[in-house]
Amino acid sequence: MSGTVSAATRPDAVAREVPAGRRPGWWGMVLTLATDVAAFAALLAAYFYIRFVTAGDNWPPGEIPEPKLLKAWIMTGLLLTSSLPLVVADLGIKKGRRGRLLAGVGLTFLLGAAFLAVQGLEYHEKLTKEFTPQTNAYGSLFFAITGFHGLHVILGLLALLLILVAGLSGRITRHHHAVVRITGLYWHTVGAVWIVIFASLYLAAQL
Amino acid sequence: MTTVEEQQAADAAVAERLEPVWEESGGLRGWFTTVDHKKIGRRYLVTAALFFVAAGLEAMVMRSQLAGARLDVVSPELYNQLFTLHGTTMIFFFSTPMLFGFGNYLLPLMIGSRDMAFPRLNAFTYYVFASSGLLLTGSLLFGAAPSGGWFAYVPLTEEQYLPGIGMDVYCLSLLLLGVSTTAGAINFIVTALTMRAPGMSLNRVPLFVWSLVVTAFMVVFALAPLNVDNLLLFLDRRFGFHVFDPDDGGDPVLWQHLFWLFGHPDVYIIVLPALGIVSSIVPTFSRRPIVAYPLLVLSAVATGIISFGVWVHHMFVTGLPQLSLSFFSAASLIVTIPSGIQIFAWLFTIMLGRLVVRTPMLWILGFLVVFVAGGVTGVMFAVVPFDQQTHDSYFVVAHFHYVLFGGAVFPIIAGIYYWFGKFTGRMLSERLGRWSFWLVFAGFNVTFFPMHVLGLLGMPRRVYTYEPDLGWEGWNLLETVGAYVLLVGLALTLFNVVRALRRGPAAPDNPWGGDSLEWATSSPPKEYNFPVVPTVHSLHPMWDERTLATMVEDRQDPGRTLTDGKQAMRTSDLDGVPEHPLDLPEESVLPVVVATGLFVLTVGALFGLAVVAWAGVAVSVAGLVVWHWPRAARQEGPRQEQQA
Ligand code: HEM
Repeated sequence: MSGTVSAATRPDAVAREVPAGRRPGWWGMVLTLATDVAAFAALLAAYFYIRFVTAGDNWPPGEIPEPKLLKAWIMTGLLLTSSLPLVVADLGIKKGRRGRLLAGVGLTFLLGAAFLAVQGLEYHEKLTKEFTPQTNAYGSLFFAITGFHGLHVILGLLALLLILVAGLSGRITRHHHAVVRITGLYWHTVGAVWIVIFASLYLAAQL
Repeated sequence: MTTVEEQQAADAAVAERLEPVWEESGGLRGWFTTVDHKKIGRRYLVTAALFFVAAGLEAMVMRSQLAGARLDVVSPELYNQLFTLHGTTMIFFFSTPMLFGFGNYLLPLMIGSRDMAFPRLNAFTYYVFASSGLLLTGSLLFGAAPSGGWFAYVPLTEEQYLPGIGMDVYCLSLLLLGVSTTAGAINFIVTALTMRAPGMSLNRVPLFVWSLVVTAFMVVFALAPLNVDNLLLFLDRRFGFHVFDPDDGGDPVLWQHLFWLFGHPDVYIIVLPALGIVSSIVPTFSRRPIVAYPLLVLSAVATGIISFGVWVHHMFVTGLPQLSLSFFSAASLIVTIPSGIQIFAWLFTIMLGRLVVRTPMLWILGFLVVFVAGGVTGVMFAVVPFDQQTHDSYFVVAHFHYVLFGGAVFPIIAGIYYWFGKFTGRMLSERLGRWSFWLVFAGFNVTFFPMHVLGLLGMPRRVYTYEPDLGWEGWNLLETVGAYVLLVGLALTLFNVVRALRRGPAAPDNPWGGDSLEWATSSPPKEYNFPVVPTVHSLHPMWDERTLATMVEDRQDPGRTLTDGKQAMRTSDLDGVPEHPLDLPEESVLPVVVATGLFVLTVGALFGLAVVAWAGVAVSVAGLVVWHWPRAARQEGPRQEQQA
C-alpha cells in the first residue's frame, strides 16, 4: 500500500500530469538542421553568385551542355516518397506497432539507397562524358553541392540502419521512440533541401 | 521552526543520496571521461588562456621587430606567419572559447540546473576545440603556419601563391573548430530553453544567459558560411577545384562575401557574451538591480539580428555598387544604437546605485573607457570615404584592438576576478589585481593609441618593417614599450592566479553579494550544483527571501531534490513550469573517442593520407553509433512500468 502511494507521488509520476514540451534532443536536432540548412544556403548562394555576378549569359559555362533531367527527376521521386514510410513508422511505433516501425524504416532505407545508386550513375555519366570538379567553377560547385547533400543521405542511411537494428532487438518501444521522431526530422529536411538543389542546379539551369 | 542542527542534518541527508549518483571517477580515467560542465568549463578557460598566452607572445615578437626601423628580429616570412597566427588565434581560439568556458561553467549554475542538456556533447566540443587549436598553434613550431592574414583573402591564399600546408592548416583547423563552436552553441540554447529552474520565466533569466543564447543563435547561422568558405578553399587548394579562381570561371570576391557574412556577426559573437559579463558584475558592485532589464535584453537580440546586415562594410573598397554601399553604411550606423543603450544602462545603474570599486569592477570601468573609444572610431568607419582613406592602415589595427581587447579582454579578466572564488574555492589578491589593472590599462593605451596616429600618417598594417626616414620610429618605439608594460600587467594577473591556487584565502559562497543563482552553490560547487533545485521568484534570486527559502523548505520534496538518479529538471520553454525530470548520461569515453576520430580525419586530410583519414572516419562513426544506441530498457523502462 505505502509502496503504491510513494510510487504515485514520486516526482516523475506527479510531474507527468503537466503536458510535456519537446525533448532536448528534438531541439538539438532542430538547431543542427538550422545550421545545416544555412550551410546549404551558403553553398547555393555561392552557386548563384558565380552564375549571375561572375559568369555571363552562357550557363552552364563553356562547352558544358544543360543538365539532363531524367535521372534527377527519378532521384527527386525516390527521395520524396522515402519520407512517407518513415512517417508511417513513426506513427506506428507511437502506438506500439513494431512491425510498422520496421517495415517503414526498412522501406525508407531502400528508397534512400536507391537515390544514392542513381546519384552514382549520374556522377559516372557527368564525370566521364561532361565535366569534372576540376573543369571550372561550375563543375566545382555542382559536385560540392550535390556531394555535400549525398553525404547527408549517407549519414541518414546510417541512422536508419541503427534504428532498424535497435528496433529488431526491441530497444525502440512505444514509450521510447524519440530517436525515430528525431531521425525523421533529419530525413525530411534532407529531402526538402534536395528539392531546392534540384530546382537550382537542374531546373533553373534550363532557363 | 527548525534549528540549525536540524537544517544541517537535512542537508547532509540530501547530499548523502546525491553524492554516489553524481560521483565521477578520478585520476587519468576520470580526466578523459568526465561530463561535468564545471570541469569542462574550467578546462575551456585554461586552454583558451594558453592560446591567449601563445598569441600574446607572438604579438610581443612582432612589436619587438617593429620597435625601430629596419630591424631584423624575425624574417619577413616569419612575420607573416606571426600576424596571421596572432589574429586567427585571438579571434577564433581565444575569445569565443574563453567566453564559452565562462558559459559552460556558469550557464547551468545561473539557471539553477544540474548540468547542460547534452553533457557528453559538451565534453566532445572541448576535445575538438583543444585539438584544433593545438593543430593551428603547433604548426608554428614546424614553420608551417598559415601566412595569409586572419581573413585569408584569395587569390593570395590559393595554392599557386601560397604553396605548402600552412593555409591548409588554417582551413582545416577552422573547420574543426567550427564543429566544436556550433555544437557548443546548440548545447547552450537547448539548455537555456529547457532546463531553467522552476519559476525562471524568460523575464527572470540573467542577462549573461540571454547574451550567451543570442550569441549561440548567431553562431548557428554565422558559422555555416565560414565553414563552407573554408571547405571550398580547401577543395580549391588540394583537389583542383576552381571556386575562387577567376581563370576558370570562379570569383575571388565570393570568398570575401562568405567570410564577412560570418566575420561581422563574429565581432558580436565575441563581444556579446563579454557584455553579458559586464551586466552581471555592474549591479553587484552598484548594489542595486540593473536598470532597464527589458531594454538590455532587446538590445542584445537586436544586435544579433542587425549584425548580419553589416558585413559589406568590410568591403567598401572592393568596388561594389553605390546603393549597396549606402545600405550597409546605414546598417553599420544603426548597429551602434543597441550598444549605446547598453552603455547607458550600465552608467545609470552605477549612478543610481552605490558604487563599490573592488577589482572586478575596476576592470569593468576600464572596459567602459576603452570600449567607448573603440566605438567612436568604429562609427568613423561607417562613413565610406573615411573608410576608404584609412583602409588597411594602422588606424584599423588600433580600432579593432580597442573594440576586441577593450570589449572582450577587459570583461574576461573582470570575470576571472569576479568568479575565481566560485571556480576554485580560493580568492585572488585585490592588491595584485589593482596593480595588474593599472599596468594593463596604461600599457594598453600606450600600445594602441599611437596606432591611430601612425595610421593617419600612412603606416600600412602587416608590414614587417619600415624605412627610417618616414618619421614613424618614435611612435613605434613608444608602442613597443607600451606592449611590454601590458605584458607585465597581464603576467601579474597570471601570477595572482597561480599564487591564489596555492595559498589564496578560502572563498565564501557569495563573496561579493551577487544576485544570481551561481552564488547559491558552495565554492566550488558540488558535482550536482544544487542539493535542492531552487524555485525562482524574481530576477534577483539571491536578493529575494522567497527564492532563498525554497532551497531550504523543499529539502523534503523529492520533486526538488531529484535523488532517484542522475537527474535534472525539465521545465517549460517559456514560463519555467516544472514538467518532468530528465535523465543525464553517466561519464563516458565516447566524447574523446569521437573527437579523436575527427582529429585523425583532419590530420589525414592535411597530409593527403587517405588511409589515415578513413581510419578517422571509421573511429568517429563507430563512436557515434554507440553514443546513439537507444538505451530504452535501462532508462525509460522501469519508470513507464510504474506508471502503467
Ligand atoms: C596582448 C596584447 C596584444 C598585442 C600587443 C597585439 C598586437 C598586435 C599587432 C602589433 C598587430 C599588427 C600586426 C600587423 O599588422 O603587422 C596585431 C594584429 C591583430 N591583432 Fe593583436 N595584439 C594584442 C591582443 C589582441 C587581442 C586580444 C585580439 C583579439 C581578440 C587581437 C586581434 C588581432 C587581429 C585580428 C589582428 C590582425 C591580424 C592580421 O592582420 O591578420 N590582438 N596585434
